[in-house]
Amino acid sequence: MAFMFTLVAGCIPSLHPLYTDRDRKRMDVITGDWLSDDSSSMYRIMADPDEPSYVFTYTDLSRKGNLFTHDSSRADFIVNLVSLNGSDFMDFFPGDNDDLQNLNMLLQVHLIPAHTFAKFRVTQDTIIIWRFDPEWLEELFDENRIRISHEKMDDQIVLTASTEELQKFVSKYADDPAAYVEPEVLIRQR
Amino acid sequence: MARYQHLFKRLAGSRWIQHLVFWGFSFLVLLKYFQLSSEVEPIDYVYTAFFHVSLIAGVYINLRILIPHFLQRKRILLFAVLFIIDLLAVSLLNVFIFTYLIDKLFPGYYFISYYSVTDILQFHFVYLVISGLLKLSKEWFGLLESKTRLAQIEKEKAHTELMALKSQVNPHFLFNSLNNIYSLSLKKADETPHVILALSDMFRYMIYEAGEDLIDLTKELEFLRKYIELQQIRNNPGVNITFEITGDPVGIRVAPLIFLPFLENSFKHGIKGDTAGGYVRCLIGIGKDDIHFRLTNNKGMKEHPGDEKGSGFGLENVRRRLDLQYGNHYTLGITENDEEFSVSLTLTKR
Repeated sequence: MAFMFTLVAGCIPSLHPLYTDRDRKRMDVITGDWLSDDSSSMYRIMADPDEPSYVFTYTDLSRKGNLFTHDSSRADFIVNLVSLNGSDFMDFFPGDNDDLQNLNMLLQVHLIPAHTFAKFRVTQDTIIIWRFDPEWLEELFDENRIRISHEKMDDQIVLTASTEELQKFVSKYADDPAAYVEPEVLIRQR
Repeated sequence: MARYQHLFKRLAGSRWIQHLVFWGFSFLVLLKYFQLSSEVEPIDYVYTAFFHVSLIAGVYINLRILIPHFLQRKRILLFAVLFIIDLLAVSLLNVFIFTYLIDKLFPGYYFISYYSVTDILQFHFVYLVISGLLKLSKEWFGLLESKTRLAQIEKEKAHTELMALKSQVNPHFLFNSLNNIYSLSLKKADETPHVILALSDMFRYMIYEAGEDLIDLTKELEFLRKYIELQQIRNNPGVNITFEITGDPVGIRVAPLIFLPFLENSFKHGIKGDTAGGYVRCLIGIGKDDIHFRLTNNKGMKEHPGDEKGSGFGLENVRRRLDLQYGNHYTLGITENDEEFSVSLTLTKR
């Protein structure tokens, strides 16, 4: 729940991914089932057999439904991993979700899928994930202290920077603690 | 109004102002180019200003050192090598500024080097080339202006000199003419009124028409004919004076009074000194491309020994006029022996 909260509240959507095809990397140690440290959500990460990417399935355990069955408590993402300036990052992008497929066609064309990013560190038993802090970014934009291509739509900031620009930015400020919210810890389930 | 125009002209001519205008214009163009969102943000001004640091460094290294010390001294290869080094150095400076330096200068601000090294090289290359071409074209226009001014000064100088030389012809001619009339009046000759009338026509020609750089050859020949006519009246009938023209003079232009000094010399130093058996033969042939002037006279006895200085004066004058008006489009040959003095002048048709 806590991670999902971060996932939603801490999202800074970007039109462009954080990786290029040649940047994507395999880290199969992240595959498996993972439980959030407050036991509110479950994650299954599987390697894509055809691409150097992963299918990231999230299930909200607080909702009723069967574990890893298709209902509104579940969401699939395509996750690509990229290393920038010594740190590892996940790029989240919506996968094949029944909920999305079942949407009204007119509604579907009004939705543009976006990328979100998070820094992570993985061991055999844990994955620590740091999401970018949207309040930090918003403050920087408001105070005119950051220069990155973006558009502000209503109250939502959408990054429009190119992949190259995003990579340079994330690389340069990867170690700035102010840029992230509290990390989430996922624990491997055996 | 004139005061403001003068002030504007002075400001526009100031090198500082020109450079400020160039960089101001560059700032505005790049600011617009660099804006990341739909509106120009204050941080875009900071970015654009810092982007100019490496541009300015590269441009002035090129303008102040490379072009004057290497390109303009024809050390092209060395210039090319140093130009590339300058380009690489300032491009790397740009990357350094936005990767490291700006974080030190503006802590709490988030900048990156937004362009690839190739893009930055292109930016700097364009600035170095444009500013270099502007400098070279400005200097070329300056050189052209100096040359034009120099040519104008030369032209004015030549014109002034020509006018001075022409003005020397008139008194020379006037003294000779007055001498002629004096001689006729002593003889109480019937031709005196006719001579005065002819002289009046000739002076009209000299004063009002001979001021031009070039004049119709027909008018010049008519003037010479009158001059010879006067000399015939004045001199002993036994003197042999011939004046022949071959070819068509219509439509040809010639420097005015260019032949007169030769004729004056021939009458003054030939016939005047030795009327018995004296002769003057003047032939003017108009060819396809040239005008040939041939003058031969006998060498009479000098009336006043030591008069050489005065006799050379008119010839030097006409030679200088020929140089000024015909350049290398004329040939002048003067030969003399104990008996005879000859002038051969060929002018290219104008």
